[in-house]
Amino acid sequence: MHGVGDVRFFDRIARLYDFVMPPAERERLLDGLARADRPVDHVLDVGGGSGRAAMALETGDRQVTVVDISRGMLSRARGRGLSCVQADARRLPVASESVDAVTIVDALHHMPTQRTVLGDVARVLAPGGVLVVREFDPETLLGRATEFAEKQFGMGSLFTGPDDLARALERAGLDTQVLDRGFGYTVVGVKQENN
Amino acid sequence: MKESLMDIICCPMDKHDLDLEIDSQDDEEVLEGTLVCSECGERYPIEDGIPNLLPPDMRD
Repeated sequence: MHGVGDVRFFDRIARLYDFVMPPAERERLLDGLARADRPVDHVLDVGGGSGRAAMALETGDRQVTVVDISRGMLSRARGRGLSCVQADARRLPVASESVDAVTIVDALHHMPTQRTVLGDVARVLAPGGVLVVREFDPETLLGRATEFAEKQFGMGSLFTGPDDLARALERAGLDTQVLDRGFGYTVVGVKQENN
Repeated sequence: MKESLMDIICCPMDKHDLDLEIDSQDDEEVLEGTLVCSECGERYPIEDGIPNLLPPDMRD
């Protein structure tokens, strides 16, 4: 069942979820952010949970705000000193064309109605801003195992491969590219200046 | 919640600006307060420094 995604699960496991992002994954996210056609001063990490990606991306010059539906996860993120907003990714409480970049890291498969989420993300991106999505590929062996494991936890996960996801970003009006492939993959979409 | 976040956040329903009512504050961090939509009047709580901007139909 969807509706609010897997929020109840994450409210329960928030305390167990604080692991550190591997450097290779951080590099891929930074590579994605570098595709923006504007300076990236403010990043929204949508479905950012306890702040794992945000901790890896925040620097003195770059602020990251964690957006998540789960209060339990956000309390962890705030405990790490991160800026937090509790919100539904389908109806972001964020002004149009107001942020330089959005990241969705290992989280899109937890969100029901991905098309609505991607549409609203495209709305909040400033011209030249970039969306960076990291996901698991269900066509790889490890991806299938992850999909199986999450189903055992009763999660309504919806995994998408890199090419399907790239098409979904195109439909949201973004100029899209698959940056890397594998069990974990990265797709970026840049909002055009004249949109 | 830092007051600078007011530059980007808006009402999740009609996307209009929000007004900030502060109940408690620690330097530039708003710890407790309310965000009020300037258009529809919907009120969104800030608790423990985290604004709850879930649409009203999704709030507990």
